[in-house]
Amino acid sequence: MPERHVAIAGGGASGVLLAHALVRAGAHVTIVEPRAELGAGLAYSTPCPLHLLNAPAGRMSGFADDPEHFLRWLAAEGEPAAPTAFVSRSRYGAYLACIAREAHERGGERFRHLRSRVTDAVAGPGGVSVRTSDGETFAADACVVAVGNAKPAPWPLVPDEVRTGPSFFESVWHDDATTPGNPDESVVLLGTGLTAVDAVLGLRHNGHRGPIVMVSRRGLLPHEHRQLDRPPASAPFATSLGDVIASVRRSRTSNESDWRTIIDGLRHEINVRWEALDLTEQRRFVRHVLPYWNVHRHRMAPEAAKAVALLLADGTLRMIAGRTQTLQAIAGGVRVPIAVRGRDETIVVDAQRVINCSGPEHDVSARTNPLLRSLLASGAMVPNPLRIGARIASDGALIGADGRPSARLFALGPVRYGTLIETTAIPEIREQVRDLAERLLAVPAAGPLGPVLS
Amino acid sequence: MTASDRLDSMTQTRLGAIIAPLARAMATDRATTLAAVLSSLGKSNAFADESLFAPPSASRYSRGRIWADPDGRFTVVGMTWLPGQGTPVHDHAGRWGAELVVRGTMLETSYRLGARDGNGRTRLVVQHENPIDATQVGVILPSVDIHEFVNVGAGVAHTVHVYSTLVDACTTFTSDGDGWWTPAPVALAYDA
Repeated sequence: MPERHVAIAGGGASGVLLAHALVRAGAHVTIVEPRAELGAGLAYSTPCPLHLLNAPAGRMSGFADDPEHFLRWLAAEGEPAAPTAFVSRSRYGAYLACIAREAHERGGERFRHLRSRVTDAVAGPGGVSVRTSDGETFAADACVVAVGNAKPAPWPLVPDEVRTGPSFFESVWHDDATTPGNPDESVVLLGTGLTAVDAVLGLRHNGHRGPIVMVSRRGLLPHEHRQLDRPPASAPFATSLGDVIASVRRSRTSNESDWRTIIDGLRHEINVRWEALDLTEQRRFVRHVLPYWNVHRHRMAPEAAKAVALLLADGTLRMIAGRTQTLQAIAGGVRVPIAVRGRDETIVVDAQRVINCSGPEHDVSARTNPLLRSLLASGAMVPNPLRIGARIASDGALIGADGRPSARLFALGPVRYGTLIETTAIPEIREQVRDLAERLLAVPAAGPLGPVLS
Repeated sequence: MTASDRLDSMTQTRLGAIIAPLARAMATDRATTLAAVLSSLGKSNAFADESLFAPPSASRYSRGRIWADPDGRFTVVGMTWLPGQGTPVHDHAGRWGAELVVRGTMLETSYRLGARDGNGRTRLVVQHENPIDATQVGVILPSVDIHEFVNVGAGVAHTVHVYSTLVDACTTFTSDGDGWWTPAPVALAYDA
C-alpha cells in the first residue's frame, strides 16, 4: 500500500504534533507555515517570562500516550520542574520546536516544510490539490486545517478614527501593544479574561506603572489554579448540563472538595456531553453559561493570579463590569465611556493606550485566513449553526454545504469549536492528533490521475 | 483563647465588621478578591486596635488567633514581630490566603522549588524580595507560597494573615549552606 501524503495547513502546536505522529506512522507530510521555526505558533511565541502556561507542566505533554514527556524534556534541558509548576510559554514554544525538529529528522525526505500559507485546498476523487500563497500547487491524499486560534474578535463601538489611531491596539500580540509610550500612561484593556491578564503582565514587565482599567460586560476574572490535594473527581452522574452545573455549585458551597476537581474530572467527557445536547440547549449554554464555564475551566497560573491580586489591592488595576459606549478619539489618546453593569452610571476613562483583549474570533465566517475563506466560498466548509467554529464530523472531517463529511479534508484544534466545546488546550489537541493521525492513514490513496486541479 | 474572648463588647462589634467582609471574600474562592478586601480593611484602619494582636515575645514572633470560622472555612491570625524577628522559610501546606501589614515594614522573600536530590533535599530559587509597608498586602497561593517574612522596620510590626481552612502545620526549609535546603514538617501553635 502506498504511503499517504498529508498536507498540514499551519505549523503551530497542533500542526507540529500531527506532523510528528504522521511521520512516526510512516506517512509523508508537507507542513505549510510561513514562520521559519515550527511549533510556537501564536500561543507560545511570547518572549515575556511572566507569560506562563495556563496549565501545570505535568499536564502539558505533547503526546497522549506519554504524559510525562514534557517533564522529561524539561529535566533533560537542565530545567527540571515539578508536575505542579507553571513554566513559561516561551519554554513550551521551544519544546514544540524540538518536537518539530525531531519529526524532520525522523521523516527525512518524508517531511517537508513549505514557508508559505495554504490559500486553497480542493478535494476530488483523486486526491487534494493544495495551493499556497507562493503560487505553488501540490497534490496530497488529505489536507488538515490546523490554522490555530484567530485574532481577537473586534470590539464593538470602536469607530475607524480610533481603530486606526496610534493609541488603539487590535491585539495584545501586536508588536508594540504592551510597550508603554511612557511608564505612567493610563491604559484600558477591553476584556477581563486570560488575554487581558497577559496584557497586564506584559505591560508591567515592560516597565509600565500607570493605572490600568479592565472592562468586560460581566467583569469576570479567570479563577486561580490551586494545587489540588486529590485527583480529579469522577464526573458527577448527570443527564444534562444543568445537573453538572448544579453539582459544581454544590461543591463550591459544601467545602467537601474543591470544585476544580469536578471541572477537571469533567474534561475527558465534556465534549461527549456537549454533543449529546440539542441545538437549543447548546445555544442556551453558549449564551448563558459559557463565560462562567470558561473562567472556571481556563484558570490563571498562581504567579499571574498573585501579580493581578497585588495590583487590584493597591488600586493600580481596576476591574469594571459594564458595556463600553462608543470610543472617542481625544488629544493623545482615547476616551472610553463605560455603562456600569446593573447601575445607572457611566464611568469615563481617558487612556493613552487601549488594547483589545477579547478572546479569539470564533465565527469562522468572520475570519480572514485565506484557506478558511476559500473553503467557505467553495462550500467545502460551513459555519457551525452556533456561529462558533465550523461543522466538523466526529472523526475531524469537514462537513460541506452538501451535509456530507469530506473524505480528504480535516480540521484540528479551534476550528472544531462549536462541534466540540473544549478544543483549544494541549490535552485536547494531543488526543485529537492521536485519533486524526490514525484516521488519515486510512484515507483513500490518490488515484492515478492525481487530484483534479481547478 | 482567641482574641474574641479577650475583647470587650465594643471591639467584638468591630470584629464583626472585619469578619463579615472577609467571609464574603473567602466565599468567592479568589485570592484576587481577598487581597482587595483585606487591603481596603487595612486602609480603613480596621485592625488599628492593638488588643487584636498577641503581646510581643523576646524569643520569637507571636501568633494570636483573631478569628476561627466555626465551619472551618478560614482562619484569621494576628502576628506581632519585634524588630528583626522573622519566620523560617516555609510553605502553607497547600492553603491559599492573603496577609496585611497593619503597622511596620515586613520583607517578604519568595522562593519556588527547584531540583531535588536523592535525600529529600531541594533547591529553592529566589523569585523576588518584596518590602511590604503598612496597609499593603501579600498573597499566598500554592505553588508560589514558599516564603520568608521578616520585620525589617525599627519598631514592632503587626500583621494579619487570612488562610483558607485551619493551618495547623506547614513545612519549613533549613538551608544546608551548600545550596540545598532540608524540608521539615512543623506543627503550629498559638501564643494567645
